[in-house]
Amino acid sequence: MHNLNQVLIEIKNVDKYYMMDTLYRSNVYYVFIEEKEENKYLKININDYKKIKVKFKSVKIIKYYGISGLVIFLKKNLIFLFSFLWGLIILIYLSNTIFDISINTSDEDLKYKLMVDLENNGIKKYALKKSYKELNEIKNNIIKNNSELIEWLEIKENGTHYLIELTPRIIVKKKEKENIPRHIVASKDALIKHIVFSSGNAEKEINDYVKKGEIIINGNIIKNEETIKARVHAEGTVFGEVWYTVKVSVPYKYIEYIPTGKVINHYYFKTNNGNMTILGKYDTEYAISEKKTIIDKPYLFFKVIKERKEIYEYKEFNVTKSDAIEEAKRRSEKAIKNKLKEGEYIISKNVLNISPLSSKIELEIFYKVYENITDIALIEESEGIDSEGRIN
Amino acid sequence: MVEKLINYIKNDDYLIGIYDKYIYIYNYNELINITSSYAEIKFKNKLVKIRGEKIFIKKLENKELLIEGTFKEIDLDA
Repeated sequence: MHNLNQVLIEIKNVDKYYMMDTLYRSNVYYVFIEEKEENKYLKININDYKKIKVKFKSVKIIKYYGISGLVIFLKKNLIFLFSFLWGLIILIYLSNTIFDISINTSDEDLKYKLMVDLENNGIKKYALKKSYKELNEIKNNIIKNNSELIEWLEIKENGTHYLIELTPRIIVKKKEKENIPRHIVASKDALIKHIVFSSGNAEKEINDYVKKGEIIINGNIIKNEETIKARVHAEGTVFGEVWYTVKVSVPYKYIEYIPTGKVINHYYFKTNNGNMTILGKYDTEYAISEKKTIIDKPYLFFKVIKERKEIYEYKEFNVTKSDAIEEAKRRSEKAIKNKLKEGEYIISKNVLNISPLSSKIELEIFYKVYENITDIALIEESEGIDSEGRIN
Repeated sequence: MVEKLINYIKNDDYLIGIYDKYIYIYNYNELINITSSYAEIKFKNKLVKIRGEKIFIKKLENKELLIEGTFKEIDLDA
């Protein structure tokens, strides 16, 4: 007997042997399940149920199995199943719909342009959400179409909300910045040695002295020596001779710590009552330590620390007066050279003063340096002109 | 070979398993008679008679029988 079309039936108040005899004579196959008081429970084929229905006083189906069971269940729960399925479809549809789009930028023009682009690519309110692949394609399309405006763009999906994050292209701002009218001024007091300019009006020449902040290349293009014709973004480079006075002192005795290359690893327990060495040396002279916690657990009353000690040798040096002077010159030159950039160099140096003291020597050295003195100063709207456009 | 194939497709071999309170029968031809004290089952070329008390068929299928009861005598006639 297959389970396909079976039913579990209950026959009430029937003798077991009478029931068996009746079923056997009616050619009904069955599996006897159990007997509870006078009631008998059997598994039979659903087609045989009609045969025996008339032969017993009280017989009823308790459970359906197989396809018939499924059909009966569907018939009974049709409305519930239909509502559930319909609800599920609506839920899936709603959760796949775009309800909000926001673009994370304060630039209203860019925001509007992106909104139009997104809409053209099918991303708009109440439209269906896009797959990851489609979103990537849309993102790349938008970046490609707006390469002059956008550096980077990402479409983030947050439930039914699309958040567009972007980085505007800096070139745009840079271009705007390049158009701002400005002067080229001196960054420090100097004697001009070299001027190159591509935009603006040169106010100074080579071998002219300038003070810090003084205009070298003017951004105001002046007509008839009193009217400003135009304002430009002055462009150029100015090198000049700059002067420094450096004071250096060098002691006759100095101590130097020379690394020996030896390292001691000291492991110890750290408790509230003090430290206890596990391995290594606790006291070491002339060492630089580096500590690292190896074990630190809240349930332990101690920590295990590793201390790495690099051993140095302590040496005292005595210097003669002439050596101290040379050392001072060397140090001062090093200090100046550290400041220099490409194309800059020391023109000359001159010792102004030597002061030998009991423990050290002090030197004052004057340097002439060839240095880039280019600086910029933005031109104010009202700078230099009156209400009639004349220079003040 | 053909005989083996036919035997595989149409297996006529019968089986009678006897346990303390059950008798399992496979491949019977006909259940001739059954009461609470007697059962008579026919195979292709054999006849089985079971005598006992409280004889009851727990499973009645096309080819299978599971009989429950206290068995006193089982006869297998040719």
